Amino acid sequence: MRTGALLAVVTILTLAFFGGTMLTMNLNAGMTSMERRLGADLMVVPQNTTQKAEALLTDGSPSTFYFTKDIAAKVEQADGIEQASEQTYIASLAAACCAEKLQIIGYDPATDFVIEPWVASQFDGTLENGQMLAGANVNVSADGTVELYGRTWPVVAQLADTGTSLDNSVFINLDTVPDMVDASAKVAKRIMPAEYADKAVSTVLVKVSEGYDAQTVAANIQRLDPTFPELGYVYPGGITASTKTALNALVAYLAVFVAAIWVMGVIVLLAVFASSVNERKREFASLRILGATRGMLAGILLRESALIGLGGGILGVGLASLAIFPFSALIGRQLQLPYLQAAWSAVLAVMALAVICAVTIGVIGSLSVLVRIGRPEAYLTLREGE
Amino acid sequence: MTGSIEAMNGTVVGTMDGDTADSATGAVTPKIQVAAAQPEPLVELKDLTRTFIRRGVPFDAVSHVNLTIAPGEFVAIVGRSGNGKSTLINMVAGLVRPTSGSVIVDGRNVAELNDRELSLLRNRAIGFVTQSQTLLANLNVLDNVMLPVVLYGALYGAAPAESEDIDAERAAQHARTLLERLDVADLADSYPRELSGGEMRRVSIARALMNTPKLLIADEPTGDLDQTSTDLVMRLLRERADDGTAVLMVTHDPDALAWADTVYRMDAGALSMA
Repeated sequence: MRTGALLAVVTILTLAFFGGTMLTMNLNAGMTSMERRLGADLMVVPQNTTQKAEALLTDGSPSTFYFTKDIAAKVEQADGIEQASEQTYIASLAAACCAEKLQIIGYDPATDFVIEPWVASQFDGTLENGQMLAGANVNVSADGTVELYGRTWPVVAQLADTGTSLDNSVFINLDTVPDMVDASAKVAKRIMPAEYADKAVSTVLVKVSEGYDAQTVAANIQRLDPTFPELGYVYPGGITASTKTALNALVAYLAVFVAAIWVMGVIVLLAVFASSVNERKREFASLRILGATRGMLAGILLRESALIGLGGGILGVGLASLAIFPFSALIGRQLQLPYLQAAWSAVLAVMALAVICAVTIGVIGSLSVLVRIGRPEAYLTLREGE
Repeated sequence: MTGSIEAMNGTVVGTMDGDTADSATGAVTPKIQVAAAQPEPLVELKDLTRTFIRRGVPFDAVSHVNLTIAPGEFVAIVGRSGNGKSTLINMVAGLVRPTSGSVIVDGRNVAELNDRELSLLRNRAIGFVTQSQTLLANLNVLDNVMLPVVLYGALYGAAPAESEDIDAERAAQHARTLLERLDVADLADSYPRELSGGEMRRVSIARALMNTPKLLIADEPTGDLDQTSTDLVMRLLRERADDGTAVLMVTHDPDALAWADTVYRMDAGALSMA
């Protein structure tokens, strides 16, 4: 009964500690990953599509929006632009490969400075027409293809997890976009009019020159054409900042929650130990009478409490793992924040730390008993236990 | 069978937060010489005093007691509750430290022993039957009886065995023999919660005899027993005394007193011949 109560408390403490730490670590990993992927200082998008574009960068649903290449070409003329690259976004219908809609991203490998650096670690070739790069969550068939709009598309590489909506995306080069539009027209509703298929651009990603900031460059772009102020201007740095704020708030809540659980848990643990003191005093006094040394009793107590700590720690880590690892994607979606599984080495380190903490707290909890049984007069201890 | 007792006024040291000790009397008991002292007593108490403080008032629970017990001697102490009997025998076992005076058991001054030496003395030379129930609830009767052997990993007093298994087997056999002598062998696999008070008492006595002690201390060994069981237990203790074990018994039971060689009375911490 006593052992069961102690085991339950230590299990809850470890579960809270490990679960909370893993959530925090995964959110931080997602944030870092998102920052790394958002290499552009400015995104110029069609009017009224700013929110869609922002959602696409964080954890939103796929969408299709575009203006035409001539607008993009004109935007790229603005003062203060060091690099500019066009991308086209198409939301697929539910594909055979995937549980959800896919975001199809057409990019220009020749000018790209956002996707390529990220892709480079997994794919160092040139993305040919008709080929695809698949995000981490896309189910690529065993023969290395994805079926989309009734066609089979070869996948040349699958990218690492980012914890953002990019994991549910496939990447094609801009020349493949018209093929994709044609394919869509054959099996479902055409995703964009045929005449736009080869000149649709969803965004111009801009890297500003040194000495310029993104807002100044946006103002420069707006001066190029009277209609340009109507365009959408997205500042990925700002998105990162606002996401970071939300993330920090969540991490703070988590920390308070975990701390509260620990404070309560330690109090309960000490209470359970204290309530068992009389029972233990009697037991240990009996052993003293039979000739057990104080060292033997301390050994028994420490071994027992360490075992409870170890058992509770392993149980807590196990239960938290059952919730966290299989449902990682669901947690990410529910939180609406970039959520990326931290490296396994870090996970193992946190597991070890959680178990060590559990053992330590078990041993600390038993110290009150240890102090009482340390008294030299076992008979008096026994009388107290009666 | 010899013994000597002496009691005088005491000094005051130590504290006690219970309410079971005797009150101080300050009475001076004249020295009583019963017989010539044995040349090598197993137990020797010299001017033994234990003082407690209750509600700020110091009192001697045990006051200047002198007593010697020779091997094979069966000594009984009677007296009203709270007059210091239990404190006295617990000092003999090294479970309570004296405020002044000395306790010598088997030639060793208990106060000078470190924890390990004292624990070993308690395990090897002393068997203790406590007044309260001290069987471990999570062990069955046989394991409880074998516990003194298990603590130090060997059957004390027997020739070294060739392997631990043989030692454990011999210990179990010895434990079963003791349980049979006390008519509780059929309870060997039972747990303490399944036993009556009298059965637990007999199991405790078996445990105290497990290491074949030189000194057996028994605090009310027949407290929970009927007449038949009392006779059974006392006959066993008498046999042990006849085999050379010194027996120090505290009792209220007039039937038990008849088995002792010498009977003392404890009154307000002072020991005198009954």
